[in-house]
Amino acid sequence: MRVSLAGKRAIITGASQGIGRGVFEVFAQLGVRCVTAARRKNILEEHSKEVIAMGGIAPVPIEVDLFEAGAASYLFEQAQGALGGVDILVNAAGRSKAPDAPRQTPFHHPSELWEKELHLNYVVLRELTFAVLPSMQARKFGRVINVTGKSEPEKLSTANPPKAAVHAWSKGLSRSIAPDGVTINQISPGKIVSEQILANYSAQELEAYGKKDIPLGRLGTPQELGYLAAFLASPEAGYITGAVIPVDGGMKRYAF
Amino acid sequence: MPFRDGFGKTWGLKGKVASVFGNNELARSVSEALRKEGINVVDECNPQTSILITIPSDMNQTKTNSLDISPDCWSTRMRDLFENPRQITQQNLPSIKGRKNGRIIHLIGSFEPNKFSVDYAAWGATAAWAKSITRALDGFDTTVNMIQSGVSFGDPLMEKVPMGRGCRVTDITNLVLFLCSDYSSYINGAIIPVDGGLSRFWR
Ligand SMILES: NC(=O)c1ccc[n+]([C@@H]2O[C@H](COP(=O)([O-])OP(=O)(O)OC[C@H]3O[C@@H](n4cnc5c(N)ncnc54)[C@H](OP(=O)(O)O)[C@@H]3O)[C@@H](O)[C@H]2O)c1
Repeated sequence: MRVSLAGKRAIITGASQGIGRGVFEVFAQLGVRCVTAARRKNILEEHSKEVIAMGGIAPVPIEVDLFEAGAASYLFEQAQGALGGVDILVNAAGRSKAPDAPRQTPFHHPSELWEKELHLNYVVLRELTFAVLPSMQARKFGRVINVTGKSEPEKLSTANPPKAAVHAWSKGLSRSIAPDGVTINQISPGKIVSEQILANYSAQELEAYGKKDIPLGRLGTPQELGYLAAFLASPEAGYITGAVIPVDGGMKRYAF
Repeated sequence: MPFRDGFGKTWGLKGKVASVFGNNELARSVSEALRKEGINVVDECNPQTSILITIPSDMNQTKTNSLDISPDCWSTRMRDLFENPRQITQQNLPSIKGRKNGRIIHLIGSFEPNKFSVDYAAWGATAAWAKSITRALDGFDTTVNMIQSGVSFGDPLMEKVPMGRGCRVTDITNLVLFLCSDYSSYINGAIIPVDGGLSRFWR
Protein backbone atom coordinates (compact mmCIF):
# COMPACT_ATOMS: atom_id res chain seq x y z
CA MET A 1 0.00 0.00 0.00
CA ARG A 2 1.38 3.38 -0.84
CA VAL A 3 -0.74 6.27 0.32
CA SER A 4 0.18 9.45 2.19
CA LEU A 5 -1.99 9.27 5.28
CA ALA A 6 0.52 9.59 8.13
CA GLY A 7 -0.49 12.32 10.56
CA LYS A 8 -4.04 12.65 9.23
CA ARG A 9 -6.89 12.65 11.78
CA ALA A 10 -10.02 10.55 11.41
CA ILE A 11 -13.32 9.75 13.06
CA ILE A 12 -14.44 6.16 12.48
CA THR A 13 -17.91 5.20 13.67
CA GLY A 14 -18.90 1.57 14.14
CA ALA A 15 -15.27 0.88 15.06
CA SER A 16 -15.98 -1.81 17.67
CA GLN A 17 -16.95 -4.49 15.14
CA GLY A 18 -16.87 -5.59 11.54
CA ILE A 19 -16.14 -3.06 8.83
CA GLY A 20 -15.43 -0.04 11.05
CA ARG A 21 -12.97 -2.11 13.04
CA GLY A 22 -11.21 -3.24 9.85
CA VAL A 23 -10.98 0.32 8.57
CA PHE A 24 -9.45 1.39 11.88
CA GLU A 25 -6.83 -1.39 11.75
CA VAL A 26 -5.72 -0.29 8.29
CA PHE A 27 -5.75 3.41 9.17
CA ALA A 28 -3.81 2.96 12.42
CA GLN A 29 -1.10 1.02 10.59
CA LEU A 30 -0.84 3.79 8.03
CA GLY A 31 -0.21 6.36 10.73
CA VAL A 32 -3.68 7.92 10.99
CA ARG A 33 -4.77 9.22 14.41
CA CYS A 34 -8.27 7.88 14.89
CA VAL A 35 -11.19 8.55 17.14
CA THR A 36 -12.93 5.18 17.32
CA ALA A 37 -16.62 5.41 18.20
CA ALA A 38 -19.22 2.85 19.29
CA ARG A 39 -21.44 2.05 22.26
CA ARG A 40 -19.19 -0.71 23.62
CA LYS A 41 -16.16 1.24 24.81
CA ASN A 42 -14.65 -1.80 26.50
CA ILE A 43 -14.27 -3.49 23.11
CA LEU A 44 -12.75 -0.36 21.60
CA GLU A 45 -10.20 -0.24 24.43
CA GLU A 46 -9.27 -3.91 24.21
CA HIS A 47 -8.87 -3.71 20.46
CA SER A 48 -6.85 -0.54 20.72
CA LYS A 49 -4.25 -2.41 22.79
CA GLU A 50 -3.93 -5.08 20.08
CA VAL A 51 -3.49 -2.53 17.34
CA ILE A 52 -0.88 -0.59 19.33
CA ALA A 53 0.99 -3.85 19.98
CA MET A 54 1.16 -4.38 16.20
CA GLY A 55 2.73 -0.94 15.76
CA GLY A 56 -0.42 1.03 14.98
CA ILE A 57 -1.03 4.59 16.18
CA ALA A 58 -2.98 4.76 19.47
CA PRO A 59 -6.62 5.72 18.93
CA VAL A 60 -8.96 7.72 21.15
CA PRO A 61 -11.97 5.49 21.91
CA ILE A 62 -15.21 7.40 22.47
CA GLU A 63 -18.42 5.90 23.75
CA VAL A 64 -21.47 7.17 21.93
CA ASP A 65 -24.96 5.86 21.22
CA LEU A 66 -25.92 7.23 17.84
CA PHE A 67 -29.60 6.75 18.61
CA GLU A 68 -29.40 9.50 21.23
CA ALA A 69 -30.37 13.05 20.29
CA GLY A 70 -27.34 15.29 19.77
CA ALA A 71 -24.98 12.30 19.36
CA ALA A 72 -23.42 13.60 16.14
CA SER A 73 -22.45 16.99 17.51
CA TYR A 74 -21.27 15.40 20.76
CA LEU A 75 -18.98 13.01 18.85
CA PHE A 76 -17.64 15.79 16.65
CA GLU A 77 -16.82 18.01 19.66
CA GLN A 78 -15.08 15.15 21.44
CA ALA A 79 -13.03 14.36 18.33
CA GLN A 80 -12.20 18.01 17.76
CA GLY A 81 -10.92 18.22 21.34
CA ALA A 82 -8.94 14.99 21.19
CA LEU A 83 -7.42 15.37 17.71
CA GLY A 84 -7.43 19.13 17.20
CA GLY A 85 -9.27 18.70 13.90
CA VAL A 86 -10.78 16.09 11.63
CA ASP A 87 -9.49 15.38 8.10
CA ILE A 88 -11.36 12.14 7.47
CA LEU A 89 -14.79 10.88 8.51
CA VAL A 90 -15.65 7.23 7.99
CA ASN A 91 -19.30 6.45 8.71
CA ALA A 92 -19.33 2.71 9.28
CA ALA A 93 -21.91 2.40 12.08
CA GLY A 94 -25.17 0.94 10.85
CA ARG A 95 -26.97 -2.30 10.30
CA SER A 96 -29.09 -4.21 7.84
CA LYS A 97 -31.75 -4.79 10.49
CA ALA A 98 -32.34 -4.45 14.23
CA PRO A 99 -31.08 -7.55 16.09
CA ASP A 100 -34.57 -8.57 17.19
CA ALA A 101 -36.32 -7.72 13.90
CA PRO A 102 -37.47 -10.56 11.67
CA ARG A 103 -35.28 -11.47 8.74
CA GLN A 104 -37.97 -10.48 6.32
CA THR A 105 -39.42 -7.02 7.00
CA PRO A 106 -43.23 -7.48 7.09
CA PHE A 107 -45.69 -5.07 5.44
CA HIS A 108 -47.03 -4.09 8.84
CA HIS A 109 -43.61 -3.24 10.29
CA PRO A 110 -44.29 -0.29 12.64
CA SER A 111 -43.39 3.20 11.42
CA GLU A 112 -41.30 4.01 14.47
CA LEU A 113 -39.08 1.00 13.69
CA TRP A 114 -38.66 2.11 10.06
CA GLU A 115 -37.70 5.53 11.37
CA LYS A 116 -35.14 4.12 13.76
CA GLU A 117 -33.30 2.36 10.94
CA LEU A 118 -33.52 5.48 8.78
CA HIS A 119 -31.98 7.43 11.63
CA LEU A 120 -29.00 5.12 12.16
CA ASN A 121 -28.28 4.41 8.48
CA TYR A 122 -28.83 7.88 7.05
CA VAL A 123 -29.75 10.76 9.40
CA VAL A 124 -26.84 10.34 11.81
CA LEU A 125 -24.31 10.04 9.05
CA ARG A 126 -25.64 13.17 7.39
CA GLU A 127 -25.50 15.07 10.69
CA LEU A 128 -21.93 13.97 11.33
CA THR A 129 -20.92 14.93 7.80
CA PHE A 130 -22.37 18.41 8.19
CA ALA A 131 -20.62 18.74 11.55
CA VAL A 132 -17.15 18.02 10.09
CA LEU A 133 -17.58 19.76 6.72
CA PRO A 134 -17.03 23.47 7.56
CA SER A 135 -13.55 22.90 9.00
CA MET A 136 -12.62 20.58 6.11
CA GLN A 137 -13.70 23.20 3.60
CA ALA A 138 -11.75 25.89 5.45
CA ARG A 139 -8.64 23.67 5.40
CA LYS A 140 -9.16 22.81 1.70
CA PHE A 141 -8.83 19.11 2.40
CA GLY A 142 -11.34 16.61 3.62
CA ARG A 143 -12.62 13.10 3.04
CA VAL A 144 -15.99 11.63 3.90
CA ILE A 145 -16.44 7.92 3.32
CA ASN A 146 -19.82 6.31 3.93
CA VAL A 147 -20.21 2.58 4.22
CA THR A 148 -23.60 1.95 2.67
CA GLY A 149 -25.02 -1.20 1.08
CA LYS A 150 -25.86 -2.63 -2.26
CA SER A 151 -28.48 -0.69 -4.24
CA GLU A 152 -30.21 -3.87 -5.28
CA PRO A 153 -33.39 -4.36 -3.28
CA GLU A 154 -33.85 -8.13 -3.24
CA LYS A 155 -36.80 -7.91 -0.88
CA LEU A 156 -38.56 -5.51 1.44
CA SER A 157 -35.92 -4.30 3.88
CA THR A 158 -35.57 -1.45 6.35
CA ALA A 159 -31.95 -0.92 5.24
CA ASN A 160 -32.40 -0.33 1.52
CA PRO A 161 -34.20 3.04 1.59
CA PRO A 162 -31.71 4.73 3.96
CA LYS A 163 -28.70 3.38 2.02
CA ALA A 164 -30.23 4.66 -1.22
CA ALA A 165 -30.86 7.99 0.49
CA VAL A 166 -27.16 8.24 1.33
CA HIS A 167 -26.22 7.56 -2.30
CA ALA A 168 -28.53 10.27 -3.63
CA TRP A 169 -27.81 12.85 -0.95
CA SER A 170 -24.03 12.52 -1.14
CA LYS A 171 -23.94 12.72 -4.93
CA GLY A 172 -25.59 16.12 -4.73
CA LEU A 173 -23.37 17.22 -1.87
CA SER A 174 -20.21 16.09 -3.70
CA ARG A 175 -20.83 18.74 -6.34
CA SER A 176 -20.91 21.63 -3.89
CA ILE A 177 -17.90 20.64 -1.78
CA ALA A 178 -15.55 19.57 -4.60
CA PRO A 179 -14.21 23.08 -5.22
CA ASP A 180 -12.90 23.07 -1.62
CA GLY A 181 -10.89 19.88 -2.07
CA VAL A 182 -13.36 17.82 -0.03
CA THR A 183 -14.53 14.51 -1.48
CA ILE A 184 -17.39 12.27 -0.40
CA ASN A 185 -17.59 8.66 -1.57
CA GLN A 186 -19.60 5.60 -0.72
CA ILE A 187 -18.36 2.05 -0.36
CA SER A 188 -21.12 -0.49 -0.84
CA PRO A 189 -20.21 -3.80 0.78
CA GLY A 190 -21.44 -7.11 -0.52
CA LYS A 191 -21.04 -9.78 2.16
CA ILE A 192 -18.21 -8.89 4.50
CA VAL A 193 -17.51 -10.99 7.59
CA SER A 194 -18.79 -8.96 10.55
CA GLU A 195 -20.66 -9.27 13.83
CA GLN A 196 -24.10 -8.74 12.28
CA ILE A 197 -23.43 -10.99 9.29
CA LEU A 198 -22.36 -13.81 11.61
CA ALA A 199 -25.44 -13.21 13.77
CA ASN A 200 -27.90 -13.06 10.87
CA TYR A 201 -26.72 -16.06 8.83
CA SER A 202 -25.52 -19.54 9.67
CA ALA A 203 -22.06 -20.70 8.61
CA GLN A 204 -23.60 -23.08 6.06
CA GLU A 205 -25.74 -20.32 4.57
CA LEU A 206 -22.74 -18.05 4.19
CA GLU A 207 -20.66 -20.73 2.53
CA ALA A 208 -23.42 -21.58 0.09
CA TYR A 209 -23.97 -17.90 -0.60
CA GLY A 210 -20.30 -17.36 -1.36
CA LYS A 211 -20.18 -20.28 -3.77
CA LYS A 212 -23.42 -19.49 -5.55
CA ASP A 213 -23.68 -15.70 -5.66
CA ILE A 214 -20.17 -14.29 -5.40
CA PRO A 215 -17.83 -14.68 -8.39
CA LEU A 216 -14.77 -14.68 -6.10
CA GLY A 217 -16.42 -17.55 -4.25
CA ARG A 218 -16.04 -16.23 -0.70
CA LEU A 219 -17.01 -13.48 1.72
CA GLY A 220 -14.76 -10.46 2.06
CA THR A 221 -12.82 -9.32 5.11
CA PRO A 222 -13.23 -5.93 6.81
CA GLN A 223 -9.60 -5.10 5.96
CA GLU A 224 -10.25 -5.67 2.26
CA LEU A 225 -12.80 -2.88 2.50
CA GLY A 226 -10.46 -0.86 4.74
CA TYR A 227 -7.79 -0.68 2.04
CA LEU A 228 -10.18 1.02 -0.36
CA ALA A 229 -11.23 3.41 2.40
CA ALA A 230 -7.54 4.24 2.95
CA PHE A 231 -6.99 4.83 -0.75
CA LEU A 232 -10.05 7.08 -1.02
CA ALA A 233 -8.95 8.99 2.09
CA SER A 234 -5.52 9.71 0.65
CA PRO A 235 -4.53 12.77 -1.37
CA GLU A 236 -3.79 10.31 -4.20
CA ALA A 237 -7.54 9.82 -4.74
CA GLY A 238 -8.43 13.53 -4.75
CA TYR A 239 -10.17 13.40 -8.15
CA ILE A 240 -12.62 10.66 -7.12
CA THR A 241 -15.82 12.03 -5.64
CA GLY A 242 -19.54 11.33 -5.64
CA ALA A 243 -18.88 7.68 -6.45
CA VAL A 244 -20.42 4.49 -5.10
CA ILE A 245 -17.80 1.77 -5.20
CA PRO A 246 -18.73 -1.83 -4.47
CA VAL A 247 -16.43 -4.09 -2.46
CA ASP A 248 -18.36 -7.27 -3.03
CA GLY A 249 -16.25 -9.81 -4.91
CA GLY A 250 -18.51 -9.24 -7.93
CA MET A 251 -21.75 -10.05 -6.11
CA LYS A 252 -24.05 -7.28 -7.31
CA ARG A 253 -25.91 -8.07 -10.52
CA TYR A 254 -26.21 -4.76 -12.29
CA ALA A 255 -23.39 -3.62 -14.54
CA PHE A 256 -24.10 0.11 -14.26
CA MET B 1 -4.32 -8.47 11.55
CA PRO B 2 -0.55 -8.66 11.13
CA PHE B 3 1.38 -5.94 9.34
CA ARG B 4 1.96 -6.75 5.71
CA ASP B 5 5.44 -6.48 4.26
CA GLY B 6 6.12 -2.91 3.21
CA PHE B 7 2.65 -1.80 4.31
CA GLY B 8 2.33 1.93 3.70
CA LYS B 9 5.49 2.02 1.60
CA THR B 10 5.01 -0.08 -1.51
CA TRP B 11 2.24 -1.55 -3.63
CA GLY B 12 3.95 -4.96 -3.48
CA LEU B 13 3.91 -5.43 -7.25
CA LYS B 14 7.59 -6.12 -7.91
CA GLY B 15 8.30 -8.90 -10.39
CA LYS B 16 4.77 -9.17 -11.80
CA VAL B 17 4.18 -9.12 -15.54
CA ALA B 18 1.61 -6.69 -16.95
CA SER B 19 0.36 -6.44 -20.51
CA VAL B 20 -0.65 -2.90 -21.35
CA PHE B 21 -2.55 -2.42 -24.60
CA GLY B 22 -2.92 1.11 -25.89
CA ASN B 23 -1.06 3.52 -28.03
CA ASN B 24 -1.35 6.97 -26.54
CA GLU B 25 0.06 9.26 -23.87
CA LEU B 26 -2.05 7.70 -21.12
CA ALA B 27 -0.95 4.15 -21.99
CA ARG B 28 2.68 5.26 -21.91
CA SER B 29 2.22 6.94 -18.52
CA VAL B 30 0.48 3.88 -17.10
CA SER B 31 3.31 1.64 -18.32
CA GLU B 32 5.87 3.97 -16.79
CA ALA B 33 4.04 4.04 -13.45
CA LEU B 34 3.94 0.23 -13.41
CA ARG B 35 7.64 -0.03 -14.30
CA LYS B 36 8.50 2.27 -11.39
CA GLU B 37 6.90 -0.33 -9.10
CA GLY B 38 9.15 -3.04 -10.54
CA ILE B 39 6.57 -4.56 -12.85
CA ASN B 40 7.70 -6.04 -16.13
CA VAL B 41 5.49 -4.30 -18.72
CA VAL B 42 4.92 -5.95 -22.10
CA ASP B 43 2.69 -4.90 -24.98
CA GLU B 44 1.79 -8.32 -26.29
CA CYS B 45 0.44 -11.65 -25.05
CA ASN B 46 2.83 -13.20 -22.57
CA PRO B 47 2.36 -16.49 -20.72
CA GLN B 48 3.55 -14.85 -17.49
CA THR B 49 0.98 -12.05 -17.61
CA SER B 50 -1.13 -11.65 -14.49
CA ILE B 51 -2.20 -8.04 -15.09
CA LEU B 52 -3.97 -6.84 -18.21
CA ILE B 53 -4.77 -3.19 -18.88
CA THR B 54 -6.61 -2.02 -21.99
CA ILE B 55 -6.62 1.64 -23.00
CA PRO B 56 -8.37 2.59 -26.26
CA SER B 57 -6.09 4.78 -28.34
CA ASP B 58 -8.62 7.52 -28.94
CA MET B 59 -10.69 8.06 -25.80
CA ASN B 60 -11.83 11.56 -26.76
CA GLN B 61 -15.50 11.82 -27.53
CA THR B 62 -16.35 11.59 -31.22
CA LYS B 63 -17.70 14.95 -32.31
CA THR B 64 -20.87 14.87 -34.37
CA ASN B 65 -23.76 17.27 -34.54
CA SER B 66 -26.21 15.25 -36.56
CA LEU B 67 -27.80 11.83 -36.45
CA ASP B 68 -26.53 11.25 -39.93
CA ILE B 69 -23.57 9.06 -39.05
CA SER B 70 -22.08 6.61 -41.50
CA PRO B 71 -22.31 2.89 -40.74
CA ASP B 72 -18.56 2.89 -40.98
CA CYS B 73 -18.20 5.43 -38.18
CA TRP B 74 -20.51 3.37 -35.94
CA SER B 75 -18.55 0.19 -36.50
CA THR B 76 -15.14 1.83 -36.15
CA ARG B 77 -15.97 3.16 -32.69
CA MET B 78 -17.59 -0.13 -31.67
CA ARG B 79 -14.43 -1.91 -32.75
CA ASP B 80 -12.01 0.47 -31.02
CA LEU B 81 -13.89 0.85 -27.75
CA PHE B 82 -15.46 -2.58 -27.33
CA GLU B 83 -14.32 -5.28 -29.80
CA ASN B 84 -10.60 -4.63 -29.41
CA PRO B 85 -10.55 -4.71 -25.60
CA ARG B 86 -12.78 -7.77 -25.70
CA GLN B 87 -10.55 -9.69 -28.09
CA ILE B 88 -7.36 -8.70 -26.27
CA THR B 89 -8.90 -9.92 -23.02
CA GLN B 90 -9.93 -13.19 -24.62
CA GLN B 91 -6.37 -13.75 -25.84
CA ASN B 92 -4.85 -12.99 -22.45
CA LEU B 93 -7.31 -14.92 -20.32
CA PRO B 94 -5.49 -18.27 -20.39
CA SER B 95 -2.33 -16.80 -18.85
CA ILE B 96 -4.18 -14.62 -16.34
CA LYS B 97 -6.41 -17.47 -15.16
CA GLY B 98 -3.36 -19.55 -14.42
CA ARG B 99 -1.86 -16.99 -12.02
CA LYS B 100 -2.59 -15.78 -8.54
CA ASN B 101 -4.19 -12.35 -8.09
CA GLY B 102 -5.05 -11.85 -11.74
CA ARG B 103 -6.10 -8.30 -12.57
CA ILE B 104 -7.96 -7.04 -15.62
CA ILE B 105 -8.52 -3.29 -15.86
CA HIS B 106 -10.33 -1.53 -18.68
CA LEU B 107 -10.11 2.21 -19.16
CA ILE B 108 -13.48 3.45 -20.35
CA GLY B 109 -15.20 6.78 -20.91
CA SER B 110 -18.50 8.19 -19.71
CA PHE B 111 -21.73 6.66 -20.97
CA GLU B 112 -23.91 9.45 -19.66
CA PRO B 113 -25.15 10.96 -22.93
CA ASN B 114 -24.84 14.70 -22.44
CA LYS B 115 -25.29 15.06 -26.20
CA PHE B 116 -25.49 12.75 -29.19
CA SER B 117 -22.41 10.63 -29.85
CA VAL B 118 -21.60 7.20 -31.27
CA ASP B 119 -19.39 6.45 -28.26
CA TYR B 120 -21.95 5.88 -25.51
CA ALA B 121 -23.28 2.65 -26.98
CA ALA B 122 -19.76 1.28 -27.27
CA TRP B 123 -18.74 2.20 -23.71
CA GLY B 124 -21.99 0.73 -22.45
CA ALA B 125 -21.23 -2.49 -24.31
CA THR B 126 -17.77 -2.70 -22.79
CA ALA B 127 -19.10 -2.10 -19.29
CA ALA B 128 -21.86 -4.72 -19.56
CA TRP B 129 -19.51 -7.28 -21.07
CA ALA B 130 -16.70 -6.65 -18.54
CA LYS B 131 -19.13 -7.05 -15.65
CA SER B 132 -20.43 -10.28 -17.15
CA ILE B 133 -17.01 -11.91 -17.46
CA THR B 134 -16.57 -11.70 -13.69
CA ARG B 135 -19.21 -14.44 -13.62
CA ALA B 136 -17.34 -16.52 -16.19
CA LEU B 137 -14.22 -16.22 -14.03
CA ASP B 138 -16.06 -17.81 -11.13
CA GLY B 139 -13.60 -19.65 -8.94
CA PHE B 140 -10.49 -17.96 -10.40
CA ASP B 141 -8.43 -15.56 -8.39
CA THR B 142 -9.00 -12.81 -10.96
CA THR B 143 -10.81 -9.49 -10.75
CA VAL B 144 -12.14 -7.35 -13.59
CA ASN B 145 -12.71 -3.64 -13.02
CA MET B 146 -13.19 -0.49 -15.02
CA ILE B 147 -11.80 2.98 -14.55
CA GLN B 148 -14.06 5.60 -16.05
CA SER B 149 -11.93 8.62 -16.74
CA GLY B 150 -13.21 12.17 -16.79
CA VAL B 151 -12.32 14.92 -19.23
CA SER B 152 -8.81 16.27 -19.61
CA PHE B 153 -7.60 19.84 -19.53
CA GLY B 154 -8.87 21.91 -22.42
CA ASP B 155 -12.01 19.80 -23.00
CA PRO B 156 -15.15 21.92 -23.50
CA LEU B 157 -16.81 20.00 -20.64
CA MET B 158 -14.11 21.04 -18.20
CA GLU B 159 -16.03 24.03 -16.90
CA LYS B 160 -18.69 21.61 -15.67
CA VAL B 161 -16.29 19.57 -13.52
CA PRO B 162 -17.16 20.24 -9.84
CA MET B 163 -13.50 19.78 -8.87
CA GLY B 164 -12.69 22.67 -11.20
CA ARG B 165 -9.90 21.03 -13.15
CA GLY B 166 -9.32 18.40 -15.80
CA CYS B 167 -8.21 14.84 -15.12
CA ARG B 168 -4.46 14.42 -14.62
CA VAL B 169 -2.59 11.30 -15.66
CA THR B 170 -1.61 10.68 -12.03
CA ASP B 171 -5.30 10.65 -11.01
CA ILE B 172 -5.60 7.58 -13.22
CA THR B 173 -2.26 5.92 -12.50
CA ASN B 174 -2.78 6.09 -8.72
CA LEU B 175 -6.00 4.10 -9.05
CA VAL B 176 -4.44 1.72 -11.57
CA LEU B 177 -1.70 0.87 -9.05
CA PHE B 178 -4.23 0.36 -6.27
CA LEU B 179 -6.35 -1.92 -8.45
CA CYS B 180 -3.29 -3.90 -9.59
CA SER B 181 -2.20 -4.49 -5.99
CA ASP B 182 -3.33 -7.22 -3.62
CA TYR B 183 -5.03 -4.52 -1.57
CA SER B 184 -7.94 -4.47 -4.01
CA SER B 185 -8.49 -8.23 -3.74
CA TYR B 186 -12.26 -8.06 -3.11
CA ILE B 187 -13.12 -5.31 -5.61
CA ASN B 188 -14.58 -7.03 -8.65
CA GLY B 189 -16.89 -5.86 -11.42
CA ALA B 190 -16.70 -2.23 -10.30
CA ILE B 191 -16.82 0.88 -12.44
CA ILE B 192 -14.85 3.56 -10.67
CA PRO B 193 -15.24 7.09 -11.99
CA VAL B 194 -12.17 9.31 -11.80
CA ASP B 195 -13.89 12.42 -13.03
CA GLY B 196 -13.76 15.11 -10.35
CA GLY B 197 -17.48 14.61 -9.76
CA LEU B 198 -18.50 15.31 -13.38
CA SER B 199 -20.93 12.41 -13.79
CA ARG B 200 -24.54 13.12 -12.88
CA PHE B 201 -25.45 9.68 -11.66
CA TRP B 202 -23.76 7.60 -8.97
CA ARG B 203 -22.40 4.17 -9.71
N1 LIG C 1 -21.03 -6.74 6.54
C1 LIG C 1 -21.66 -6.67 5.39
O1 LIG C 1 -21.58 -7.59 4.58
C2 LIG C 1 -22.50 -5.48 5.05
C3 LIG C 1 -23.29 -5.54 3.90
C4 LIG C 1 -24.03 -4.42 3.54
C5 LIG C 1 -23.97 -3.28 4.31
N2 LIG C 1 -23.21 -3.25 5.44
C6 LIG C 1 -23.17 -2.00 6.22
O2 LIG C 1 -21.88 -1.73 6.72
C7 LIG C 1 -21.95 -1.06 7.98
C8 LIG C 1 -21.13 -1.83 8.99
O3 LIG C 1 -21.71 -3.10 9.15
P1 LIG C 1 -20.98 -4.36 9.78
O4 LIG C 1 -21.47 -5.53 9.03
O5 LIG C 1 -19.54 -4.11 9.93
O6 LIG C 1 -21.70 -4.38 11.22
P2 LIG C 1 -21.27 -4.91 12.66
O7 LIG C 1 -20.14 -5.86 12.63
O8 LIG C 1 -22.53 -5.35 13.29
O9 LIG C 1 -20.78 -3.56 13.33
C9 LIG C 1 -21.64 -2.48 13.49
C10 LIG C 1 -20.93 -1.37 14.23
O10 LIG C 1 -21.81 -0.26 14.37
C11 LIG C 1 -21.86 0.12 15.73
N3 LIG C 1 -23.18 0.61 16.07
C12 LIG C 1 -24.37 0.03 15.81
N4 LIG C 1 -25.38 0.74 16.33
C13 LIG C 1 -24.82 1.80 16.97
C14 LIG C 1 -25.34 2.87 17.71
N5 LIG C 1 -26.64 3.01 17.95
N6 LIG C 1 -24.47 3.79 18.21
C15 LIG C 1 -23.15 3.67 18.00
N7 LIG C 1 -22.60 2.66 17.29
C16 LIG C 1 -23.43 1.73 16.79
C17 LIG C 1 -21.54 -1.15 16.49
O11 LIG C 1 -20.94 -0.84 17.74
P3 LIG C 1 -21.64 -1.05 19.18
O12 LIG C 1 -22.63 -2.17 19.04
O13 LIG C 1 -20.50 -1.34 20.08
O14 LIG C 1 -22.30 0.27 19.45
C18 LIG C 1 -20.49 -1.79 15.60
O15 LIG C 1 -19.21 -1.25 15.87
C19 LIG C 1 -23.45 -0.99 8.30
O16 LIG C 1 -23.95 0.26 7.89
C20 LIG C 1 -24.06 -2.09 7.46
O17 LIG C 1 -25.41 -1.85 7.14
C21 LIG C 1 -22.48 -4.33 5.81
